[in-house]
Amino acid sequence: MDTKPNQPDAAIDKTLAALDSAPPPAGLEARIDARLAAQPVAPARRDRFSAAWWSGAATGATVAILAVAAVLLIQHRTSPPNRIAVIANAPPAPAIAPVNLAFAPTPCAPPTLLRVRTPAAPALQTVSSPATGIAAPSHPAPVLPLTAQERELAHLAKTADPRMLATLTSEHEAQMEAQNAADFAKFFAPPPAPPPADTPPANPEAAPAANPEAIPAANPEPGPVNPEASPSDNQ
Amino acid sequence: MNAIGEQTLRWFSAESATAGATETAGATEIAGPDLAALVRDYSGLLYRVALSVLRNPAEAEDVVQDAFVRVLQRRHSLAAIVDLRPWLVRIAWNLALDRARRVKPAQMDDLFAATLVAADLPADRALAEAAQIKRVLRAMERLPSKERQALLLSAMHELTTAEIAAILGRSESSVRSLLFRARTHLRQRLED
Repeated sequence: MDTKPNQPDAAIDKTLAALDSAPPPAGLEARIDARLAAQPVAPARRDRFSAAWWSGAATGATVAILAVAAVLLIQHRTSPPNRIAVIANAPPAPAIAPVNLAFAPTPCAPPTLLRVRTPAAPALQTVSSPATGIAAPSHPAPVLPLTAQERELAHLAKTADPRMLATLTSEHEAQMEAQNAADFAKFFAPPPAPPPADTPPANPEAAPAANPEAIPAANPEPGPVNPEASPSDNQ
Repeated sequence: MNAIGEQTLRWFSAESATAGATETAGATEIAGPDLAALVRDYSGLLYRVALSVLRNPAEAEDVVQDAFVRVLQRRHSLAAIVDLRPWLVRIAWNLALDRARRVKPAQMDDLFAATLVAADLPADRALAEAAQIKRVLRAMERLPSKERQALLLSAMHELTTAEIAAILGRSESSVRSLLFRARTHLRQRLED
């Protein structure tokens, strides 16, 4: 022991060597074994989480993932046809009717009139085929000013009697003209010849020939036989 | 090895056989190391590691027993441990550090220094050597904790620098740096 206080490295080495060479107390291993033997046997963690447990858990997780994926795939495939069916079964709205863009825009009538006369069936058919209806370009008819004849026709369509509107056909008009002509000819036809003067009437008051003014008074104005059937008077 | 150690060894063998019987056919039982052999091989090292921290033989022995109890509780994962020595030392090291928070090592310096002196020395030289060891131990207490821990572990000749690094959770270069600084600081304190 030549270590001096001024030799710190030697003192450090000697202290570290003394720590390393410290002998264990006698009977240390026996006491450790006794302590280990007195310890209760804890349940093995491997028993709860064994390989079979992990394989079962992995299988269950895989089945659950596949089931969820299948449900999502089925929903993804069935959802678009359902939306189309709902649209096809919906009642036709007036706003959908102008979809008949296959027709060329005609300036003879405004879009409102076309909307009234457009049947509902073609509109439904157009909506039920979403590929063509959606892909068709939208070109609404330009709004043009109405001519005088169109304005009168529109006014007539709004205010006139439907039965009168139903008579606006060429056949019925020709028939009416023929009837008017016949009435006119009948009215201005020459009166029948008077009976002979030597024959006395049975009732002098009832004899029209005795009163020369009675003839024009019977029908003072010329008119049709059936005034209601004449469209020219109403117009 | 004594009778109790052999009994523990037989108990481990019986438990392994029971666990192996419950396994399916063809499954291999993971064979762990013999706990009795671990006690025989590493109890001395663990005792010295704990003693360097606590400076109390009784406390150090308790730490060693607690460390092997921890090993017993983790006996099923022993086969997966590649290097058992750093793992065991780390368990004892952490237990000793926890216990050192309650026990002040400086209170035991007089008695501890006397136990470290060789018994065959004359009384006067034994007293001088004990005083010198006590002085060095007190100087070590004033070192930073990381430097002191690296220095204490480096005193165990069984532990390599890599194993000390594994125990402290640092790199080998960091451990070398800590050892250099610890010696430098300790030397300066002892020269004052």
